[in-house]
Amino acid sequence: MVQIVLSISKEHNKKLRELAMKEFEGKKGALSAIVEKGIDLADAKLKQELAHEKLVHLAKSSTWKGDGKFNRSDLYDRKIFS
Amino acid sequence: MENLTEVTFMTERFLVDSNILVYLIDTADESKHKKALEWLLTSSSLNVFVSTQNIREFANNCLKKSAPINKIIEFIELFCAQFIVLQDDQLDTKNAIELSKNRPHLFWDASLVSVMKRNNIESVFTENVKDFELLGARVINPLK
Repeated sequence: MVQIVLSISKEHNKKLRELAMKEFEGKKGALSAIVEKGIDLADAKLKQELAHEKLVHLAKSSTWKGDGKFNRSDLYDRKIFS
Repeated sequence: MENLTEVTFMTERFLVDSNILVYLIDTADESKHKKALEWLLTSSSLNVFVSTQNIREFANNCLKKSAPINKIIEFIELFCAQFIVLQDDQLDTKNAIELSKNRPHLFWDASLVSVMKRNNIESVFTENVKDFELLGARVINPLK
């Protein structure tokens, strides 16, 4: 574990303590746990946003022409008896 | 104060069906490709899920029609990074048998509906409106 010193606004301090109480019932390490959870959520959101941008670009630049159709039955159903 | 309508909308969960995924790569039908793209642009603000069945169907459809393999894989990686992936299992097979009783042609759609129900997802983005409605899902057709 590492220790960091940071400054946050009064409103965020209030929110942080409320969340720590709500999520971890104010147990020892609750503030750190909430901060870690927030970092993980922000990281996941950023990765998701980046994936979205890449997917939009990939779809916009697609030049592949299939048949413009999708039929679920065609994917699964094969004639067993001919 | 938070906007309650927005919060409710954000917590609503949606499944995206294989056909919409396919029209993102398949440009043969320009109108469908364009509508799928428009849907994709709005999807980042929604809670969108995809089933492993959808991923397999996307891959199978594209492989059968000779799409470039590297592109298929690239799309799949990004689907899995943007949407939340749900695993299907033996319970979905059992549920699908029940749901598609007397309508065996709906078995694979029913398997998706089972995944939706198990994960509290009420709505599906699909062009296959009739079949999903028959199975009790709320359907949104982005291609309309």
